[in-house]
Amino acid sequence: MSASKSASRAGNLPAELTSFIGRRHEIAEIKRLLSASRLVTLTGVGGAGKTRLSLRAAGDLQRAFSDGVWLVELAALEDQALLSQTIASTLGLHDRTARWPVPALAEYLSDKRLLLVLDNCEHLRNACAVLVDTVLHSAPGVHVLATSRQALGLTGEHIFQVPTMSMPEPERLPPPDALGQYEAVNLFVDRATAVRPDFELTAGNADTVVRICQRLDGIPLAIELTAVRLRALDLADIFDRLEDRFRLLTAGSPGVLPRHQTLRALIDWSNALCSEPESALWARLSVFSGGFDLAAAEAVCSDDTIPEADVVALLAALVDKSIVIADHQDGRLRYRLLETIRQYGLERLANDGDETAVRKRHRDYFVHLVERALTEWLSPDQEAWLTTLLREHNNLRTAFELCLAEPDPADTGTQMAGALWFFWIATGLTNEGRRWLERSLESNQRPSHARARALWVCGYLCTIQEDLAAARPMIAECRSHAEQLDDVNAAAWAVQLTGMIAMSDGDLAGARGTLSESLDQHRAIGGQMGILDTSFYLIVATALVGDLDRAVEVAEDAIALCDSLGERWLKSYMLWDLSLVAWQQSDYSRATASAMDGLRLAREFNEQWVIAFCFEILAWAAHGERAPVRAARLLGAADRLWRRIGAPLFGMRHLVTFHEQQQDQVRQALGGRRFDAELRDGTLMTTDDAIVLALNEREAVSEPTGSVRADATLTRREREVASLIADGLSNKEIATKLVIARRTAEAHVEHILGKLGFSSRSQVAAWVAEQRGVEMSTHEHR
Amino acid sequence: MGILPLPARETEGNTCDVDKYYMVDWVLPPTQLMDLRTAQRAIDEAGRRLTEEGHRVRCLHSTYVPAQRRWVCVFTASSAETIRKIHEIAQLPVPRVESALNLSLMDRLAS
Repeated sequence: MSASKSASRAGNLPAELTSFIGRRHEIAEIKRLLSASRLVTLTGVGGAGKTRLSLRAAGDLQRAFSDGVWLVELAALEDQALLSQTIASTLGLHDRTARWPVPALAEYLSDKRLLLVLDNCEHLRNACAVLVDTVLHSAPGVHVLATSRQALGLTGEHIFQVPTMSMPEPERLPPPDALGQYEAVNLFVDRATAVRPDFELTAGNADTVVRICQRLDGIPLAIELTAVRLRALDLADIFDRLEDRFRLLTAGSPGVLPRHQTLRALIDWSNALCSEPESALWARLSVFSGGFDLAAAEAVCSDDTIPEADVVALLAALVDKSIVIADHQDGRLRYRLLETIRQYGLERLANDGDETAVRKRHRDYFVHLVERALTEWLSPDQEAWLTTLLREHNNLRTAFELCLAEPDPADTGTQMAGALWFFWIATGLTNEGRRWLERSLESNQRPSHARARALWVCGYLCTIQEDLAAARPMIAECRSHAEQLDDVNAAAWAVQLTGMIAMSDGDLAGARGTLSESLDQHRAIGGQMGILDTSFYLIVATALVGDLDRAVEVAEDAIALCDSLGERWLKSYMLWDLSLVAWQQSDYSRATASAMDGLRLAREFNEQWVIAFCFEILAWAAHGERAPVRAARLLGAADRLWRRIGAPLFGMRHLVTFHEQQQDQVRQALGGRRFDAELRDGTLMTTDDAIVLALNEREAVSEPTGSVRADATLTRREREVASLIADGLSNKEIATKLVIARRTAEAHVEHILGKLGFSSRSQVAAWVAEQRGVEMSTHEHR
Repeated sequence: MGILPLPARETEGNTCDVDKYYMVDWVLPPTQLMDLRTAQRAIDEAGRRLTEEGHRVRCLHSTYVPAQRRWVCVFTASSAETIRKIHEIAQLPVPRVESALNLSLMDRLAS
């Protein structure tokens, strides 16, 4: 599995950890609303089950959306400026240009048919509303299902207020075997039996269970938090303690609390049932965003009052009480708090006066993690580090926010932003990287090694985004700081960036000279990252000026260094370099072999630049080996990826010229119509399928998805017949309905099966159902 | 820099707030016209929402000069901070916001 989320899977809905109870009517209603409107917002108090309900309804609709159903969790996102980047990276969009993320996202979605689930929008309401408005206006095939405590307030928005779960009236209690129709009771029993397998709903305890559910207003989260108490208390105890607590809140009168206060009261009660250390740990864990692992919990939450050795037992206790949720991700145990519970913990932390100290420990932990990642990046653990940093992305953002809000003398924020340079590039988070770097640089202008590094890193990101106007002053300032501080490392990177800019300007000879100088400087100080990174650009510049032998020398030296370190990410770049040189030498077999090797490595990291580059070279080599169909399809696959990344072929004029020449020649070889068809097939492939094609990992060339081909080839009459097949009509009945000969109806059916690549009527019926979805509207949003 | 206000408006508290003119001037990286139109829509929607929340702000006009890759917008707003807020909500990089003068209005008031 690649380190970052594969862009080719259609959807990312998580598996459910616990059983889903009831809500059939609500799910049906949400699906109906989504058929009538492209924006549906689930509202309701915290704990009402908005998230679970949205995921369940979305899961049922997966077949209706050919480009998938995508969940974007926003609870941990504090900076609204990162909203579109967060959605883009969830969708696997790796735009490395300086293009504004909202239009880039809107354009990417413009030809997609997908459902976007935006969970927990309330704290980003305005930004979410503006983004959703833009997307729905630009992308007619996109539907949005949002969860929020408040509607987004957009025209055309359908609001669904999530009700609490159904309950019987205690005064008219049906027998226990008839209580199964009530969702609140079912939920309680389900969660109770998870902690006490011998728990049963009986005539003796049904009344108590119902009264508990009543007391909790049928709020799902409240019921879950209460049911798990059966691990340590019996039912009567639970009821009595709840009654005491609520009596206190309603000043003794049997009145009803507002719903949001019911959940608050229940969480208060849960907290009161925790030991003091458990409660304190709950509060401290609330500083984490997007979850945490045990090592992080131990480092951040321990001090004189909670020894590190005690954290694991306290954490286990909180998991038992359902305060903390534990689940396995990529073979590792990871923990999180539901947002409502996390917010409660943050309040407690602030009231305890511990917040600053805990947040600083959180910041320091993640800064240390980043520094370790940088130190160990050039090693066989590269992929693991990338996975780790992606998993901790929200925590890194939280740490950055603290660094900016409370700058420290060590200028930690600037340190961390600069240390993550490889992360910003490898993940395509160039816009986000720039944002943190620019904010850090603005907040502290004092010359320092951290500042020098941040300047060249930010300059690097600007350069690969082709924002040279922004890059130049940063590089100049970096050079000045480097001189002032005698920072030879920063100086070498500043020279490298000067060479990269020369390449962008088309001055290949100048670029080659400057990059050679930079390589010498990196070598002199033993800067392995700099040696490898500079080598990549130097090889390209050297190859494009025609000194192919020298280009091969530099590449082979760099690859040898990668192999000695166990480094694979930059090696994929070098292998692409070698394939370019081999292609220029007309050694198509070697070009193909190197590009395939590079592609295999790039696939591990989901390194989309290298994947796209390799598709290009493999296409050019295929043309050289007289395989124009393969060439056209790979050109199509590359084109699809370039549109997601931006800046095809780095925008380098020479490479773009090669591409255009190759494309023209392949078109001539195939003829215009055939070329267009094969190119289009290539653009319709998922990245994974295109890689399989590129690496010859299947015997037959992959076909594009059936639904898209069918859209292009069924006649109007055939679509009518397909619809009647889906309605269950026989050939004879179809003939009667359409007033045609039976033999004609049979012929239509044969044609449909052939065009769709199906072998049965039931497959046709399923396909029709998918096209119909739930009668989705594709009208303009406004 | 002197500010020429719009005619005063009354607010709910029966105090008069005066809106000011501001200019936002971008030099853009290579940009598609479609991106600008999308960004404009986002700014307009963000402005509408902030105005509903009581922060008066409106984009009066928006001009793009392709040869210079310059995008110039003129707003009226209660403060420069509100203009920065619009850009944050629209998820655009926060630009430099400069106070501006409406010379046409000056002429009309003078005559």
